[in-house]
Amino acid sequence: MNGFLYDIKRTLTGKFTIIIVILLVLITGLTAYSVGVTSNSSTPGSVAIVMPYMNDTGHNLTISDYAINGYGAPVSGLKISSQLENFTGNGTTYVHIKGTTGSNGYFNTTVPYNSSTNYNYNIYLSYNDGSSVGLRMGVGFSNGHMSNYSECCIQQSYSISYSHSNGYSLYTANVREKGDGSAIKTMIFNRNYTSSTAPLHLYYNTSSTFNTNVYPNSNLNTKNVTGYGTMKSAEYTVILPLSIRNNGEYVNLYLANGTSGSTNVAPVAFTSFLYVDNNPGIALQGALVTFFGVLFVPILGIFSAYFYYSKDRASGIIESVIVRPITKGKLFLSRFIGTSVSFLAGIIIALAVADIILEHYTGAFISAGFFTEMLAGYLIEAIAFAGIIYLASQFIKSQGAVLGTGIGLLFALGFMWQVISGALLFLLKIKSTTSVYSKDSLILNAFSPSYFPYILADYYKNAFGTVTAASVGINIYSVIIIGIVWLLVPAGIAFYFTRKRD
Amino acid sequence: MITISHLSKSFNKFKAVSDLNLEIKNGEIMGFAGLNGAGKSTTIRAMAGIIFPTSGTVSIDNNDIVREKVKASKHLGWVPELPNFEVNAKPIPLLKYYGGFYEYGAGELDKKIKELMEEFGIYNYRNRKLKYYSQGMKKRFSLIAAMIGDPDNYLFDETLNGLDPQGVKEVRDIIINLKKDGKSVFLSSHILSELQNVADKIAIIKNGQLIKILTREELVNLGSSGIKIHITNPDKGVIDILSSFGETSLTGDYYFIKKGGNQDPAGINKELVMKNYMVDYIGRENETLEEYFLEMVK
Repeated sequence: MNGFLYDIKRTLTGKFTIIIVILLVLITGLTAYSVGVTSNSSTPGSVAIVMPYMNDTGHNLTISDYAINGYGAPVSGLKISSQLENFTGNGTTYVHIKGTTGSNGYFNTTVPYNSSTNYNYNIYLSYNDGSSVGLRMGVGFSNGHMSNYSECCIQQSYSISYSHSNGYSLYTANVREKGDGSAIKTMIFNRNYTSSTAPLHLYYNTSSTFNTNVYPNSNLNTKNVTGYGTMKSAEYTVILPLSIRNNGEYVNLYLANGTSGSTNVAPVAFTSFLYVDNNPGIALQGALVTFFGVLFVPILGIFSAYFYYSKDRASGIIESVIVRPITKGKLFLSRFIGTSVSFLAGIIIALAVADIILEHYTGAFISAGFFTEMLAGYLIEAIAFAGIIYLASQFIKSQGAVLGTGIGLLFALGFMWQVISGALLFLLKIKSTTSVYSKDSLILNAFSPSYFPYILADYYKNAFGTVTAASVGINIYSVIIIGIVWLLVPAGIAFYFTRKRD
Repeated sequence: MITISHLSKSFNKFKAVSDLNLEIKNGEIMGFAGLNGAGKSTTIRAMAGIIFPTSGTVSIDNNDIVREKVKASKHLGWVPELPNFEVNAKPIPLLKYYGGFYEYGAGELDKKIKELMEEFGIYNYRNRKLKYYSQGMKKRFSLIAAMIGDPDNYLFDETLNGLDPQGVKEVRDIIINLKKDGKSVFLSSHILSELQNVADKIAIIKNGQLIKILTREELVNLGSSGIKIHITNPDKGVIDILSSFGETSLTGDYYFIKKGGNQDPAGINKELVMKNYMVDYIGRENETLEEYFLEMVK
């Protein structure tokens, strides 16, 4: 085998690489476990959302409760205990109704009906094990059609709204897309759908504040919204292209029965909800970024570089390899690439394990975006620290001095960096309340590889403290430049010197 | 074949090796002698490609060790003075690592490692970490590590140091066998008698400069013959007496009268005894390599 590839293979299969992977998996796994068990979000599969529907069939009132879980799938075996309040001129009478949903998620019943009175229908529900779950609507019924009057027990990101307009009886339920904590799946149910029901066109936009301007029957200018699709059945699933960057924004959904492509349409239903990204990656990132990012990853980079290169170089062991048919430059590259690939493999495995643990506890995987962002941030950080140690090894000849330099870097660029940068800003007399402080603080963070994952996370979330990341200069270009600098510059200079110096 | 052409190496302002020219032909053993700090190890490290020459070139089978490093190193084996391998490793995995840089087919490397370890008598210790090897075993491992690529050229840097007489004999036999196999060997050593025993030539280096290359013929008839004398009650008068017989020097406890003039040992002995000196040894001798070497480098 080519000596270059052979040395990479040896580094990858070395004992220290195995130790790296085990440590990475242990730390991220334990972090994911602590994030998972302390998560207050219910597993979507154990949530029930019940949407009642009442219909006048002459002398009877047909009641149909439809239950879905947090993923939007029908819930069977759900115990429903409900009460129909009949408001008559002589007071209120009550009808107690009990039942269990079938395999299709429906519980249907019929009660006598007096068209001259108004009704309220309240639902109480529990699973067969008796545990209280979910979200339910209380609905009113008068003059032959339904109207909502309350919703109860909203859990985390789940929400439900009801709208009755122009003959449409529409429920809009926000649930989760299975396996993706970032996506909010909006399910729209037209409970009185028939084959002759006119299609509905869906539009959406986002706003920083709750939108109270557009309600059913107000004109909607379609130039100000984005068209999503057309609802031509009783059930319609919508997954809007939202991301962590929309976190905290209000999402406005409009259903209109006008002609598709018209400039002005009249919505028959409108709902607005706060977009909260429930990706478990957010919690994992928050938990990892301190201990893992500022302490463990630098240790990983420094000690890997020490064990795979600096120690051999300082002790002279590397000379027994240099005399083989390989150049100094290629030997350097093989060790450096081997070290970097071991970081890559270790971090991928560690995040994958964390992902599985989080899915077990929260029901959602880390999104691909979060996975990639965390992988890139920690990988570049580890490679940067390794590169710095490779560089130091070109000038420092003793093992002790190399290790001392590494530990010094860990202090200076790792957990003391915030103190150092704060002291620098203090000496420069920059007040912490000013916007200049934020920018300068960010610039100083760019000088420590420990803080690259922070910068990348800020860019990904488009948030830097209380302001947007873009407003302080964190954009795709600055992030790429900082990443490339840390990825290539220390190692590149070290590579230059290893080819030129003894 | 190893060719060193105008090799110089400086460390900052210190010139460790200066304009060195040597050629070690196939099937030839060249000894390399010099005092500590003369530049022997620096020369060997430059020849091995570990350090870069400041100027000049080193060619291994016509491949420049700097510009054609991979080709040159394929043909070169280096046995360092001190073990420079990972001592926490076991021998076979480490030899497999070294062997991985050469072009071995499937199974060939394992076979080669087993053969060499058996030949050098350490195969039975293959499961022992190298740090538990004796000095001699480590040296043998170094030899195997140098031979793993089956090169045609060898550099031995003070390899005989620290070996017991048995070990010295073993290494000497290995070197002679390499020569018989047509390999070129460059051997630096402080044990000059061993160099004299095995080397076809001995290059003497002083302060980084080559001062003499002794051929086999010169080694056989080394230096001037003369009379060697040991006196149990010497004083300053001895030199005066002996000087009348020729140029006289004192090395340790022995007086040496260089060849020339009236040098009849019996006559010299008679003259000393008459002056009440007690002579316990007198005889004709050639100057040793050590004496010659010390004379050259002083």
